[in-house]
Amino acid sequence: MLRLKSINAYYDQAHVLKNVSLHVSPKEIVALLGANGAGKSTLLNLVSGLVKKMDGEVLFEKEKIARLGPHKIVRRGISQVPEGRQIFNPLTVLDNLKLGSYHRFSRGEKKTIARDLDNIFSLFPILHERRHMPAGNLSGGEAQMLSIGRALMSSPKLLLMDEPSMGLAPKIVNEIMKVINKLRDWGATILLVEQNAAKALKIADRAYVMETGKVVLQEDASTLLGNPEIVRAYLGKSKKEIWE
Amino acid sequence: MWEKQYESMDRNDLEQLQLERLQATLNRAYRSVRFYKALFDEAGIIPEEIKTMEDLAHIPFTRKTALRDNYPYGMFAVPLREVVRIHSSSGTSGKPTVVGYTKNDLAHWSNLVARILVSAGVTSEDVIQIAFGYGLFTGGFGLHYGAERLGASVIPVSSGNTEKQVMIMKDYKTTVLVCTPSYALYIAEVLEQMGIHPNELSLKIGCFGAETWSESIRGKIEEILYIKARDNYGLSEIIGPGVAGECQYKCGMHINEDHFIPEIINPETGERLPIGEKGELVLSTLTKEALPMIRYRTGDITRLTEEPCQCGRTLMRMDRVTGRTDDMLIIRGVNVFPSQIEHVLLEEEGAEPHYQLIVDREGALDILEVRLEVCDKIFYDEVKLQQEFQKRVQKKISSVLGIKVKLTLIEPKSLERTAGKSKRVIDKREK
Repeated sequence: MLRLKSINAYYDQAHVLKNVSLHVSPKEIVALLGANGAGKSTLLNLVSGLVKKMDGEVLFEKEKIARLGPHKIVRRGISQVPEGRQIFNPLTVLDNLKLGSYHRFSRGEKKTIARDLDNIFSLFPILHERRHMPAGNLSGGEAQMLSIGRALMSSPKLLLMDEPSMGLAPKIVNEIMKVINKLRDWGATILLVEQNAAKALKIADRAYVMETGKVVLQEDASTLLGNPEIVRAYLGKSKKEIWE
Repeated sequence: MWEKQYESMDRNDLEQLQLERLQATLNRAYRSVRFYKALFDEAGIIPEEIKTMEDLAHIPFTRKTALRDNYPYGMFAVPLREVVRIHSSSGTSGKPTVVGYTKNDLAHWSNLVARILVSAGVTSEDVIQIAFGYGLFTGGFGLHYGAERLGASVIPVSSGNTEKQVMIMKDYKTTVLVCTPSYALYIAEVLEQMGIHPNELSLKIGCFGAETWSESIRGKIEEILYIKARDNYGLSEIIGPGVAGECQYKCGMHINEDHFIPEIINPETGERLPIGEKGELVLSTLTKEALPMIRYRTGDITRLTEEPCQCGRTLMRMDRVTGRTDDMLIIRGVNVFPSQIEHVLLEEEGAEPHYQLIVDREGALDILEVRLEVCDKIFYDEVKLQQEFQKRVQKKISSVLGIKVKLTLIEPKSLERTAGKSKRVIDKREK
């Protein structure tokens, strides 16, 4: 479904993604793991069309999307749940959700939008309860649910999730992971960036381990659990120390 | 198929997977192995510049000497505490080469060997007698864990004590024999000596490897043991057995390309040859953690084919290995591969599949003597018949090789038999 070939990306002079290749097949949950600054979020932003200084090939459903604007990429069926939620605090929960389907109104999809909204409320009953409340009044976990719900409102084929567990209490994190698992049952395709490697590997099918802008490992998630290479990637221990 | 999702993968998807794994391997090797860092730096290559599979051709080769120079653990890409298994070569020709495996490497290895057994026709119902040496040699343990992974019943007899092997084979109802082709021939001889007919055994399949053999040897083995003989290929520097294996169509060995990238090069110039041409096989590992190998020169001469196979596997195939760059003999300036001679010998009625090549020098001239075991009938029959046979075969070999060859006929069973790899060439020339 999504295929990246030898991607390089830059922030001004800084070379942040170095020759990254990656793919996501339909109905797969793929995790991107690595320490802060490894380039995980940059990679998601690049797929969403937010990073312009780049080279390499980004194929979505066999078509090149690297030079498209973010709004066009959303229309193709890629939606991002951004890091730190990024919800619109003064707007109500319902309005936030509706904004997620903004581009679909003009296409006369009112009926399907209403159905999607119902689905999202069944997934997150709490959002239904608070639908008329300003989003700014939500707790961290609820805001994260709203952020996921908003992304789902665009009826995406591919969902990009950037650290959905960040800053949440462990109990809420489990809640969010359950939601992701449920999305899997719905047949969603997800590219997931996570700091919490153990949690991510439990729900993902495959994972890529990144280190300073490069992929150092790609494996089935089940075999990566407990792999020392992950510890190295997070601790940034770059040299082997055979005799220690 | 054991892992259908990989073995019959769409070639386009496979190429993407290979690229991803190659780039990750290069990053790890460059970061963690001093040898590769130096190799890349010297060639002016940074791993980030390898953007396509074609770019791989810019990377310098790794040779066996790299393993010897970095003896014992210098080529490892992970700390020793993450290595859970160590194998090594015997070290008869210099320092031994040492190879290591992480937990994950072993899991992959077992799966790859299971793939090869399945493609040879082995199932979880089979009883597998592993007559490869157990120990530092990768053959025994490699096949052992692969067969267990598959769920077959494994008899780890190891090599040697052939009469006991035969007894076990008969009494334990072995259905699959794993050993070198030359040992299979020897087992057949011992069967005969013991007066056991192959019909009394339950043997169905033989998975043979670890040395070069020919189609004619296959024919012989199938004929005298009443089994299907299947070829497989591997080498310890890459992983051991599990690199490639034959399917039921016997049209070459499917290379597990999701774990290894094959290339064929001209052994003299190092230039990459197009698919379909014969040359030296070069392999790069894609998933190995403990010992990544990048463009490793195997020394094995073969040919690749991309043509689709009837079995449904989309993996590329390699021909049976016809020789090694280092067992090519140069005799009076002519390149001679032992396999060429073997081919001629085994077409002859009365020739046994046991022979030895002796190269020596008389004055300034190289001479090649072929010592061939012949059946009792020819050896003990009329002198005239024997002479005729000798002359005819000698002429045939000479014309195939393009140099004069001396053929000596010897008594049946006079050459030494081994349970491991047979030694067929003795080069007495001063190096």
